[in-house]
Amino acid sequence: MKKALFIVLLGTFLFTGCAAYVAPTVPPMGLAFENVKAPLDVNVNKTKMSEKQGEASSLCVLWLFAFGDCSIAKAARNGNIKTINHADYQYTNILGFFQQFQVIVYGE
Amino acid sequence: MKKLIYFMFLTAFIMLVCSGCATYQSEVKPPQGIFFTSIKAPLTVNFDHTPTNAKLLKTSYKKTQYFQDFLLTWMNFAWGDINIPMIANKAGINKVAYADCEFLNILNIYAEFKVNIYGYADEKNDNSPEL
Repeated sequence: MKKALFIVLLGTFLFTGCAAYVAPTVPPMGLAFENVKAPLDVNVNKTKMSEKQGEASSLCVLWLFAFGDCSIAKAARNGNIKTINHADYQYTNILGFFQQFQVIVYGE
Repeated sequence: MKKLIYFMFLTAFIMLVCSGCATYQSEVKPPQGIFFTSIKAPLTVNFDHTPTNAKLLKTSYKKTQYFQDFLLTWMNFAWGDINIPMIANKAGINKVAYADCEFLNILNIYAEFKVNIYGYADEKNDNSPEL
């Protein structure tokens, strides 16, 4: 009985999408460990590359609690960026117990 | 038999609570928590030449709300209007630069989805840059 309940709980946690994220570009995901950086902005036609960057992140702990501000406004404010040219994101996942979604904006 | 019924009921309850009925769809969606979520994330993802300077006006007073009645009916309700032209018009914004969203979810019982719009106000001597 306990074993069946554990399987149901584990299956529910793993397959309801709680341990995942959505972005325009999603590389193959690792359930046990993941640390990927991918484009957030996929419209890069004649986009000027910039060195200056700003970051903002949100966290999800133990699949249970998610909090944080990874908005464009916060990232631009953190990097003191006046004009954004393009953006990436970085996603870190350690067994689903710790997940970080970081938005990185590049601009001037 | 009683154990089986209890097990089925518990499974159905967990599936209902954790199936993410109170979630949302967006181009960018950071990981969500099962019990509690309070996050801000980008809504627009086309950033080429997007201004983010201090002259931008921000408006976010519109949101949609969700409520699940677990006690009596087990039904869920959602209402609200967050269309961008209406929000921008009310704040006098005629050039929207970009948008962020805010999502709050408490135990899948109550949820809020808010849109933050950033843009320039319409003025006769408009010095705002072309977006």
